[in-house]
Amino acid sequence: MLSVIARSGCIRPIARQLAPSMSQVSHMSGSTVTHWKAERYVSILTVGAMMTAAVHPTLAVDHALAILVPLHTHWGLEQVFTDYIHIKPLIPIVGILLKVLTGFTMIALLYFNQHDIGITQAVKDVWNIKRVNPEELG
Amino acid sequence: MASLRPTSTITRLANTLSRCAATTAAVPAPVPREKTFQIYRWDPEKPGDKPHMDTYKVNLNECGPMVLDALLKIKNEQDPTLTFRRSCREGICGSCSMNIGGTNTLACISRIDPDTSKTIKIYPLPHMYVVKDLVPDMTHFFEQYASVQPWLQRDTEIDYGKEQLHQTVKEREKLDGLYECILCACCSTSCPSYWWNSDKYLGPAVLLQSYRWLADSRDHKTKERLEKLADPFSVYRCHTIMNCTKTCPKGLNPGKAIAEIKKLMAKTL
Repeated sequence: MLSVIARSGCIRPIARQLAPSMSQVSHMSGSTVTHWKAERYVSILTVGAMMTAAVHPTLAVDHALAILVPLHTHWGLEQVFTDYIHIKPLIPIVGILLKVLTGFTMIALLYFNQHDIGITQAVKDVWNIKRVNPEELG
Repeated sequence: MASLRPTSTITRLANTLSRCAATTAAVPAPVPREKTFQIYRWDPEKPGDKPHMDTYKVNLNECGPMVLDALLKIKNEQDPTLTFRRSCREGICGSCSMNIGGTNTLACISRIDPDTSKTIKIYPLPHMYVVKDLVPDMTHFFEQYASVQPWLQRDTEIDYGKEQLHQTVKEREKLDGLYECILCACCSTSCPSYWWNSDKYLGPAVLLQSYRWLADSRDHKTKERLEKLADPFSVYRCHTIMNCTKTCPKGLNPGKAIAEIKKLMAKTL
C-alpha cells in the first residue's frame, strides 16, 4: 500500500516522513508498545496538520491530512474490532477489509488533493454552503 | 421533614439542634418509614430456579443507616436464605461489594437513601458469574491478581529481618492512592472493556495493584513486570472510560494508574 502511494510523484516526501510509523502496521503484533507510541504521534501530528490547514493551507498539508486522518481512523477502528470481534475466523478477514478500506481512502484523498480542490478547500466549501431560495432556482 | 422524624438516639440530637431553626415545634409520634428493597435472587440448588427479584420492606426507624444494615436485618428477620458476603462492616475488607442502585459499591459504607418513595435495587457485581444471590465468583479475578505477582521482588537475595529497605519520603509518596486498594472488584466489574474481554484484559483493580509494585522504589523487577504486560490485551484494552475511578468506594484512581503503566511502558520498553 505504501509503495503505491510513494510511486505517485509529489507525495513521496510525506510518505517517507511517515514511513517509520506506517511500517509498524505490519509489525504491530510484535511490538504493542511501539504501536501505542505511533498512535500518539499520529494523533499529535493530526492536530498539528489540522491547525496548519486552518491557518495556512497548502498542498503538502492536504497530503499530510490524506495520510494522517485515515491512519488515525484505521487504528481507532482496529481497537474497536479487537474489543468486540471475538469470532476467531472473522478477525483476519475484518483486518484485511479494514486495510483495503484505509488504503483506498488514502489513495482517493491523495488523488483528490492532486487533481481537484483538495481536502481543506472541500471542507471550507461545505462550510460555505448557503441556503438557496427555491424560487431563485426557478 | 416534620412528619418523617427519625427516633434513633443519634439522630434525636441532630433533630434537637435542627428544631432550633425550624418553625414547627411539635414532635409527632414516630411514623414507620417503610423502605422497599428489591434484591436479585438466584439459588443454584433449587432445580430450574431462574434469577428473579425479591421485594422486602424495612422500617428505617428500626434499621441502621447503611445498606448492609438493611441486608442483615432482612436476613435476620425476614428471609434467612438471602445470601451475601460481608465481614468488616467498615469498608476495609472489600467483601460486601455489590451493585446498589446502579452503582458498584460496598454495602457497608453506602447510605440508605431516606426517601421512602424510592426503591433500592440490589444486584451482584455486573458481568460476573453468580454463585448464589449476591455472591459473585471471584476465582478468575484473584487468579488475575496473582498473575501480576503482587509481592516485592529484588535482584539480590536479602536477609529478611536484618535491616530495613529504606525509601525517601518522595518514593513513599508514590504509593499513596495505590496501597489502599482492598480488591473489592467494584472498579473492574464496572469497566465495559473488562466485561467484554475479562479473559485477557486484567482490569482496573489488578492493573492498579500491578502499578503499586511498578512504582515501588524497592522493587527491582520493573522491566520484567512491564514486559509481561506488553501485549494488546493485558493493559491496552483500557480506553480511559473512567468508570473505575468514578465507582471506586475508596476514592482511588485506577484509570490514572493504568495511564501511568502505559507511560512507563512507552519509556522503558
